[in-house]
Amino acid sequence: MTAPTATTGPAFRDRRPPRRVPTARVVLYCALVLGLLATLAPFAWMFLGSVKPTGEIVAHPSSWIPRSPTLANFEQLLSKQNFGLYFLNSTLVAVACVLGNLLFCSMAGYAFAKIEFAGKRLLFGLVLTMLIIPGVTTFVPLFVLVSNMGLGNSYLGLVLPFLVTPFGVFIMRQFIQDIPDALVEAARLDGAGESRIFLRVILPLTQPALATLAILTFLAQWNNFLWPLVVAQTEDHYTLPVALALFSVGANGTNYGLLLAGAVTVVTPIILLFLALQRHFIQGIANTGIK
Amino acid sequence: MMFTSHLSKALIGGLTATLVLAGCGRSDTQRGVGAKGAPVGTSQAKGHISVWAMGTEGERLPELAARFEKANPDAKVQVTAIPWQDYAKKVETAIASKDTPDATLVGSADLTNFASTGGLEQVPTGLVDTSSFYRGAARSTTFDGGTYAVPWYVETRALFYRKDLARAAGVSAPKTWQEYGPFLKALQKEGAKWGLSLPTGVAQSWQSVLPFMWQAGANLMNEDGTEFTFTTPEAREGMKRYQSFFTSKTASRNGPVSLGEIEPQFVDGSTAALISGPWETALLKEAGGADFVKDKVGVVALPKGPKSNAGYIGGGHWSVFKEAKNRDGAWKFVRWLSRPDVQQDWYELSGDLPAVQTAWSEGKLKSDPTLAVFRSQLETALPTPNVTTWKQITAVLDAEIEKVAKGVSSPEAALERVQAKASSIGTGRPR
Amino acid sequence: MTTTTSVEPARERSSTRQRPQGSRGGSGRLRRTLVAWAFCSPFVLLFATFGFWPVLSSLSMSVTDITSKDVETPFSVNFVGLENYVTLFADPTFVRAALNTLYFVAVGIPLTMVISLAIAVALNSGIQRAKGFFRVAYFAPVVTSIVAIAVVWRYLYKPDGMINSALTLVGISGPDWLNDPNWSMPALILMAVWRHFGIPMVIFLAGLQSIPPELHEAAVVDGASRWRAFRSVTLPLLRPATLVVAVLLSISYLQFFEEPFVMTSGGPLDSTTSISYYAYEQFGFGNYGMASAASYVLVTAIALLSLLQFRIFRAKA
Repeated sequence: MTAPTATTGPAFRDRRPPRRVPTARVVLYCALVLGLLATLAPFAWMFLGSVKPTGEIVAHPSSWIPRSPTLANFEQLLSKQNFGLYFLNSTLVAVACVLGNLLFCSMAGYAFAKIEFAGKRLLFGLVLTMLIIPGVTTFVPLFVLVSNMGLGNSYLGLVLPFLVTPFGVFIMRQFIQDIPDALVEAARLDGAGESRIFLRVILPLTQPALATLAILTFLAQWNNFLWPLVVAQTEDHYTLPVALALFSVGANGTNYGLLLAGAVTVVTPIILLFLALQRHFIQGIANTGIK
Repeated sequence: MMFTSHLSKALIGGLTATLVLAGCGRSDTQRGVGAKGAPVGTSQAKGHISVWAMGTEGERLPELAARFEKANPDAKVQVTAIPWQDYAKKVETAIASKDTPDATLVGSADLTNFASTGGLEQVPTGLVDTSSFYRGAARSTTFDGGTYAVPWYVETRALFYRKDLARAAGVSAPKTWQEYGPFLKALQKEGAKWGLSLPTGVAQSWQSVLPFMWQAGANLMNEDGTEFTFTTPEAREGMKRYQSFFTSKTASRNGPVSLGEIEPQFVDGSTAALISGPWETALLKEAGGADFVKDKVGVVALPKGPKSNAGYIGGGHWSVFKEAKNRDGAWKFVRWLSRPDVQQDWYELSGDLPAVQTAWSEGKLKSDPTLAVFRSQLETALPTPNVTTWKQITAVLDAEIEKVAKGVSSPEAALERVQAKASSIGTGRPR
Repeated sequence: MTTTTSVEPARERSSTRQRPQGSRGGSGRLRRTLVAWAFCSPFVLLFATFGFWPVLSSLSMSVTDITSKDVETPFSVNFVGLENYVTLFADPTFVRAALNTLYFVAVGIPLTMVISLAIAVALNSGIQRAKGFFRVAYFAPVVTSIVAIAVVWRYLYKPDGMINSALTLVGISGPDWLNDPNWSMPALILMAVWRHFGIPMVIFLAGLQSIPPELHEAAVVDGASRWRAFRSVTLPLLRPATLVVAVLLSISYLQFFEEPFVMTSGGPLDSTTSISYYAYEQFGFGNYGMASAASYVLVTAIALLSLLQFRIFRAKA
């Protein structure tokens, strides 16, 4: 599981000398830059728009560069709306789900990967089946269940359904399976209990997998929208996307400046997190894919 | 302990299938009738009163509630502001989980739906004088013979047009359907790309289209409210009138999709008229400035069709939940909210139009010419049919309205489909 | 790539895996089972309650006439057999939704795969300068919240928006994307591709990097054109990555929901409504039985498509 970064793979040391095909190289770079511009244009529009007054955003014809840049949208966002609280809620929910997935899914993943036990096949079969069940299928009964449990409008209601995911167990099991059995068995012969093996042998070796799972879970929960929308009934439980969707659209009008400033507030933290951890993000996804 | 009992209840709840397969069935007893509670006394309100209010109303209500607390020192009103969007789901969830506040603001079109769940208490006898409200508002508080809410504020639509363009064209605002089309065409000749903005299938389009049918004299349900009647000649005439704005190129087939989209077009003169509510003035001021509104915006009642100039009446009511912990306090708060002087205060705070007719006898409500337009419109405005399935039927209506607007269906065929689908959806009552 | 190589030593020993414990006999097995279930217990408890249970109850709801008003008394609903399913397929809106979903999947998946593979190949073709930067930037849409970015896309798609301005530069006058029933679906597909191509790109890139460049070069030296070499050497070796991408994309694209939800509400003229969106709307109307039935149509479709892809890619591998 030692994962060298993709950029230093052998493929690059053996590459053809660039000078032999300069035109092809130029064309390639041009295409990549064009594609990049198209990919990043929506972000640019969002960031530029968030510092325009609303009148300028809706004006015809619209322009990219703000004529009279202002931070008024952000001021309004912070003063009028309780965005600090939504930010905290989003973080709380995402972090709780990350912790739950890391702990519980790696425990279950360990059992699936390294212990033979009665019921394993059936249980793992169920996990695999659940991987393809779309969210909309469980949405209604889950909603009925959570509200009947009295968890509507509570942090528990927001977190519990996502505290473990079949995907998390699947990915942990795949990784742990790749740890040599010899390590586990040696520890067993030394008289170590399963929990000790799990904590001392397995967990330290699964750090790349844990990082992947943590990042993917955080991402999914930070951007989760539909579930918090129906579960969080009052403002004090809103997450950022819910608040953004609900408050930007008033009863009779849309405040586009506020909406774009809110969008920036939702997107920026996750982009920063992504930039800081991009190696793990990308490596993690490459790892899940290569199985 | 709470948690485990909830859990077991939830698990049992999910066992539907097994038991259903074992032969359980729907019992024929009619559900959804809220109890009628004891009359509410005239003493001061006491205790903690928790209420939900939506949107701007939710933001402004605490200020009004403070005045209630001053008059009732032993009472404390806790207002939770929730957005209008998807609030219905929240109210339904609260009722289903029996974890409700004491009272809630309810959009007039949703009341029937909530009442039918059995989660609301009927308005106690003698709490308020029903005849003091606008008739259309009072009508939308009833369900199956019971009254489940007290009207608070009302809203209806009028015609906003560019006064300056009309002046330049030498035309005056239309009073009838006959004058409607030529008037808008005249404004278009003065440079507006579109004469009128109409919704073309986005959610809630029906609110703008049903009035055409009413103005032609249509009733959308039969006398005893058991069946829909969307295919009457009057309904067809209304739908044809709606269609005529598109065939004559007076209105764009791609109407505004999101809120706030139309104001800039109205300000820059590319759209010369729109149909909107009392809140529109503030939005136009924001988009074009106070002088723009003063000099260039005219507001008149909707032009009269063969029968009337009826518009749609919406607004907010107050309901008290059956599971309310402070039921007495909540009703006293609701009663207080419908006092004419409090209604005037609320207008000052929020701009919401009073549902109580006598509240209009003083101050700006009495003297302002724009408000007078809305007031006259309120006299004739009609609510939606009182059926629990209305929300689903509006989705059908919006979809068929879109087909008419975009020219892919005739009004007749669209209404046939509305009628067929509405009949199969039903009224939500046992037939 | 890296993980596959480290897998090998583990696989060797799979034949001996069970021996030491198996020899200890029955009591050891019981103990092991208990320990394993203890490890699984938090997961099993949560998974059974919030994962498996809702699946079972939605399956049962789909054969009853349960509505939102029955939440308190879920026993007193009627068993209606397959009536919900029959009603679904008799509803033109649902049929339209199913066809739209098919359209989205049939165009969206190949398009996403081609674009992500093209970028992966470009990034892997020996460029070194700014490669990491390109990779990160191309991945950025994946981490973005759709609710936040939808407002931007609605602006881009306006008749006089950025996309049409760009088209005007090359002499094309663009359509009114979101208002034209013929163009609304392509518009949403484009947006979905933008949001989704990052993950397949990274998976393809990892797959490409695990292919020794000598193989490709040997083919070129043998006289094959670069395109032929790509087709006959690289593509077959990418089959495992392609399978993963295809399955991941079909699971997420068949659930087509968020784009119409935030962009078009299924319109204009139902041209962008989908099975998921239809189910969600039925949920909104309180028709829980119909909503569940619609979602099971989707489950069936996902299962069938995944199975089909496993067949196709496995058979050739």
